[in-house]
Amino acid sequence: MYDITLKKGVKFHNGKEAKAEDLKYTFDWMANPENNAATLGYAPQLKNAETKVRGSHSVRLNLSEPHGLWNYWMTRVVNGLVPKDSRGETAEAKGPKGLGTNLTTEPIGTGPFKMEEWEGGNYMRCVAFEDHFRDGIPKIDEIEFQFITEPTTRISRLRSDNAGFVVDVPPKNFQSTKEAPDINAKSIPGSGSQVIYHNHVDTGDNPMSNLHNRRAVHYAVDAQELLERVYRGQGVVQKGPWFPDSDWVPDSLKNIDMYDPERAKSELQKGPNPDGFEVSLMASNSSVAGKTATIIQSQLEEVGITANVNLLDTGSLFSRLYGTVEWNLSLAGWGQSIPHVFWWLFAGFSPQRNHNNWHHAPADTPWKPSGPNPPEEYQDEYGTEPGAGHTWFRDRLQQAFETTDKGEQKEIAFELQEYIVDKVVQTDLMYTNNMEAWRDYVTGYKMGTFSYEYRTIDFEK
Amino acid sequence: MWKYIVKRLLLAVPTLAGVSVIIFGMMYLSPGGPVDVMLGPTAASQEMVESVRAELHLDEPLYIQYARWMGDVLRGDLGNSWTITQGTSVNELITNRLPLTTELAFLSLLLAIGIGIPAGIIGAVYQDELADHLTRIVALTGISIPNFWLGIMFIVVFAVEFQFEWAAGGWVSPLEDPVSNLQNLLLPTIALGTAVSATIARMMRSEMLDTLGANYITTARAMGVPRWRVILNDGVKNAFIPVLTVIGFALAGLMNGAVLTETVFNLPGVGKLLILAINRRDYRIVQGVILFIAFVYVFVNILVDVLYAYFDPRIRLGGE
Repeated sequence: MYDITLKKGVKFHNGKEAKAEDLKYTFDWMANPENNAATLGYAPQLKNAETKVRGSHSVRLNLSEPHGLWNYWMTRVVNGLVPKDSRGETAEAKGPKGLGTNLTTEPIGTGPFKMEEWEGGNYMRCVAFEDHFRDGIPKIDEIEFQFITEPTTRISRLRSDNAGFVVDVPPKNFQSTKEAPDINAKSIPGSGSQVIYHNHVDTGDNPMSNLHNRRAVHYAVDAQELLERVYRGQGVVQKGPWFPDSDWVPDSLKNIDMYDPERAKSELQKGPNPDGFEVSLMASNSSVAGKTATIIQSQLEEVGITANVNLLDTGSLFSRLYGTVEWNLSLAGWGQSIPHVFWWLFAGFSPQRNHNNWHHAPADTPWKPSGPNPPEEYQDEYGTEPGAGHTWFRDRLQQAFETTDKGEQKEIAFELQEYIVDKVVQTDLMYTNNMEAWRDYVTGYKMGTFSYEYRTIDFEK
Repeated sequence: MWKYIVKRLLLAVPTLAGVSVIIFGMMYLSPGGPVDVMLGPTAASQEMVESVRAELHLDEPLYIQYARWMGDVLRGDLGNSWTITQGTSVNELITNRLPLTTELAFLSLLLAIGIGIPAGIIGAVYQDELADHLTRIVALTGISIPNFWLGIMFIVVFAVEFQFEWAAGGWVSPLEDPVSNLQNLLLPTIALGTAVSATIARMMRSEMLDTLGANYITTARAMGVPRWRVILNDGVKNAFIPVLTVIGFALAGLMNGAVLTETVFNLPGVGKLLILAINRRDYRIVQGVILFIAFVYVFVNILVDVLYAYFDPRIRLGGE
């Protein structure tokens, strides 16, 4: 249960003050399963949650399940505060329930900029919100976001002063952009992670359903080489799912060498395919993913694993990943949105539609749940039936949510991360840096690792 | 003539209907769907996926989905966007972006004709001489270079190296600023029009060679008509008729070529919309845009046949 008090005097873009009734409406709308709010996938504790107005600016939120880290979730995952009744009635013309409301194309918030014009996939123009609650913010009158998929065009717009600021500078262009006149460029630790997913479902001809085969793949891949050759060293090799220098990563993982070809060969000998095996390796058809997949292919070849690279467009990749068992390995990239290890342990490994086919087979298929067993000390309680490992994982995660004791949370976080690495639920490769560039008249800009981090910016002209 | 046009228009109906079935079938048979894109990969539960699929009628048999879509299309409604701008009408999205794509296609065609026709004539008149070799080499090179690569090279040279503001992509409406509009479209026009100009040049040269070898040309020259008058009055006019077909299809083809050129130059046209829609599995937009392009092909085809009769009075349309 949380008591939430809103700051007084905060105004929405429609000019009305944000009050408790608005917060109640915001929560109630998401909590109602009929509205199909996508947020419920990330915050299931909100489903059927109860809210009560306690004062003009105060609301009591009673979640359906305990969540000791709710502040992180509420401020970063849950949809923002919106005015009462602003979503309007559901209508087919707006899109599916929950995904299409009055706010879909005309959002109203309390932020420093209000959206003036948006053309999907093309541009979005925002103007300063004069009644923003923080003094002196925003410092600029108007900002236009241009969505440019072609990297060369993106960089050229900066170089020719058609844009003041560019994100996602490709690694190969970073140095030349940095050295260009009148331009600043910076590379800092980012939240984008590169991962190899293993299909755990035992279909009879899927080598990755075997733990030793997964370990053979895991220890055969040299993430440092990938980082150097594909990302020009702009990033950090992972030692499990979370940031390797974090206090929330156990020393046992920090000290392990994830690239160990001898161990890879030894694991291969222990498994059902001592002479090696053949697998498919899916990746998106971007040049970076294609290059990464090709290098992984040659690294696996070194230990006797033949990987057939299959490059697909993103839609097809996701579809095959989540909806079928017709794959063995898949390369994918993810961005972390919440700076907390439990976010990734939850979002990456807990939902029902798990990308590794770890705990369940895709819907409408005859395959049984799969994946590694729980750790030995829990097997009396959870058994060793297929799917038991995932049930244990979810229960431990829920136990972490039910406490606010950091020591206890850390113990669980360590245990779950060690489990993921030991059982090779997936192979985490590296966090790549955020690389951005801007004209020199942009001053005071502060880059952030996470997309939700606030950034300040000023202009000299 | 009118009877012929009406007949061709009626014949276009089953053609477009066939195209619509193919478009619809291919989109739904290809892997991936809009629901994964809408809900995000890890967040959604299976129940939510099923619920959204039901709301979009994606759980219905394919023929019912097709009938539903076709019913809307026949009423002039291409449906609403699902993933790019949820709820926005596809008609509106296409209409807003059509002026740019049309302008780019026509400018590219003008450039292609302006270069291709004279190059073809010169190549034929000076057959096997230096001018002919040069035009053939240039034409072959033009056909061989992919337009998206040429576009990227233009950006690298003119925007990155020379830092011309107008070379870095983007678009301004001609009603707002005609000069900037033409500046912005200069490089995309060259990138898109080069290959077409090469095709027209090769076709024109070939037709001119046939025409210049005809007896009536030899007779005209024997009667003392000046060489260039024969070439321009008799040769070009007769050789141009088959080239007209190439130009007609080139115009429709330029709409397709715009897909990559618009993406490279960040031009908010129909082509860029199509790429976005394919990547984000926005079925309604993909179906709407491809159906529109198919319509343009069919219409241009009819137009070319009609123009044939105009340029060559010997041709009688529809058995007239």
